Amino acid sequence: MIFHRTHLCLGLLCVCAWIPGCKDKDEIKVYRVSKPETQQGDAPENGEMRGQMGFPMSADAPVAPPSQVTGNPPQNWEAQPLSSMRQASYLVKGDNGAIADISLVTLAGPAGGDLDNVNRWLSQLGRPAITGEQLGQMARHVTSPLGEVTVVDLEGLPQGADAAKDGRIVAGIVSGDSGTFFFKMRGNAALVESQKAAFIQWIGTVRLAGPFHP
Amino acid sequence: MDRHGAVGGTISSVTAMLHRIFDVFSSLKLTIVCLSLTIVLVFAGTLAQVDSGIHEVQQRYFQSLFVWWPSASGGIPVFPGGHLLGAVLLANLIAAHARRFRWTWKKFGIHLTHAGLIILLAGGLFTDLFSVESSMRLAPGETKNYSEDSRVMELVVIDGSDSELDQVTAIPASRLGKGGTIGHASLPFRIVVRKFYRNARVQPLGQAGPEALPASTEGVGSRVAVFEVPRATAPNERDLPGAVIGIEPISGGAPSPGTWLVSDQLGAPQTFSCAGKTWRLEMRPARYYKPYSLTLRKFAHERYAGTEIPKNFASHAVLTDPERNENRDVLISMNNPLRYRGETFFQSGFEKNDTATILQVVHNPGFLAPYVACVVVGAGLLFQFGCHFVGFLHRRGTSP
Repeated sequence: MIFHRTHLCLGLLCVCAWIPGCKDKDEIKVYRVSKPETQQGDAPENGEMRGQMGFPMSADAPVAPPSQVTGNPPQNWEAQPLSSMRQASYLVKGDNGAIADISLVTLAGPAGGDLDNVNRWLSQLGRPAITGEQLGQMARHVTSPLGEVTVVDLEGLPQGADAAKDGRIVAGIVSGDSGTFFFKMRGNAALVESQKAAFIQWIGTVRLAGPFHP
Repeated sequence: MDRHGAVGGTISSVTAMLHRIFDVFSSLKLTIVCLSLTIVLVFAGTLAQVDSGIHEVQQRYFQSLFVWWPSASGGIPVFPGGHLLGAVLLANLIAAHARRFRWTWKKFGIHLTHAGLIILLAGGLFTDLFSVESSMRLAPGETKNYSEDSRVMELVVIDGSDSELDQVTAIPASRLGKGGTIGHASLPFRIVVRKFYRNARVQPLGQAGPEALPASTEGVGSRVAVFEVPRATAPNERDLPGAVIGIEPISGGAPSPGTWLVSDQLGAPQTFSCAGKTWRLEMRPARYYKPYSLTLRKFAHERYAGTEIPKNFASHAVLTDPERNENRDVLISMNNPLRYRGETFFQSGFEKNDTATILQVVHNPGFLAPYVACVVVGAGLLFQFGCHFVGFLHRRGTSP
């Protein structure tokens, strides 16, 4: 009788020893998920870095601060949820599945400067970098309550990209005491062209809603 | 005949060895040793929280088979961890009970009590191993079908070439921490870990000092420097891991997409091209996708009159589950969690100015174990003491 109990208990012991070791924390997982409506993957803005760089980030700290700006977007722009760095986020849809993503991202400090950021946008479109002189020739300036916004219009389709969702960036940068503001519209080239005037008009309406904390 | 004798001798020696193992595992001495080691482990773990923080200590001391002393060769086990002690105690309890088990109604209460303790220990171990805690942050109007664990990071490589679905290959940050080369059948390239930072800070090169070097050759990393900083120990802080990785195409002759910095601090994916596809690369909190989604309609936050002290906060949300044809309003508030598909959504917090709600999402397949254990132990004790009490009354009634 005790022999059978010995077997039973040794079996249970093996189970007890096996259970803690059977969870593989390093397992690589592969899964398929629906695409996000907005082109979340297309805009690794320079320093769209969460939290204040150089300081510990609280796990309980707000991930997405409340929008601290106001503006008058056109009615056909669909408001999207704000994310950690997006003070404003819209999606505009065109024909044949064309979309363009519009965002306003804010950062503390100069955030790399105009030329570095324009070259980064160009690289996102698979285009070579330009010089400061070339930037001066291609940029236009728009007056807004936040200051004078440097606006560029960049075109190019990166390798493997979907032309319905990519191909052109119209973007603006303005720096001031409150930090740096990045206005950006990226998406289908024809749709971006059709929305360009509204985008620039919107830039002219964006203002701080109160004391700003980038 | 000699061969039969040798086989018989081997069987008897194996049986004797099993008996010895059984003796060890059913002994009360082992119980005492395990409980003593548990006391030492709890004491050491409590002290270690001063330097390491509660989450690190939980993993190193209690959610492990051994406590490892770090060394150049990777680590030396210096003490049994919580999982090992719990498992041995569980085996000890089962073995001791099996050895001494004699079925009589007189001892039914004791058997029941022990069974309850076994359920409690096994449930605790099961919960520790298989429960998942994460959080879901929702701004009004926002819909999510996943929750995130901000203390567990993962590197995701996303193939967005399909028009409907993204294929996500998620590599735990802990795997990056082991270094070396990582390959997977879903990827036409290998990921070579050049450098891993348990807790890193990223700074633009212009602010990082004259000797700072770009973290990587491509992407945001080419314009920033990255520094290792001490591990986060405060309860409200967390490590922000980062890594510099190289992308090496498997097919020979293909151009290398270079090295990339991946960090949660970059905030958005970076893209590169390889094997004719555009890939997105991002270090982010581990995600747990669900077959249903929650949309936040409204977040209500009541305060005590004249103060900023929260009185009640509640999330009015819409639960949508296409598989089960569910589309209904749900209310999640303090002490009123939503339980759905084995997961429990607690109202955990909110963000400044009530701009978003934070729900704690708990998946615990062993959540019933403590309740069942308490009922079984309670029934066992009630039966045992009840028998004694009845016997006492009986003796008292029959005594002269």
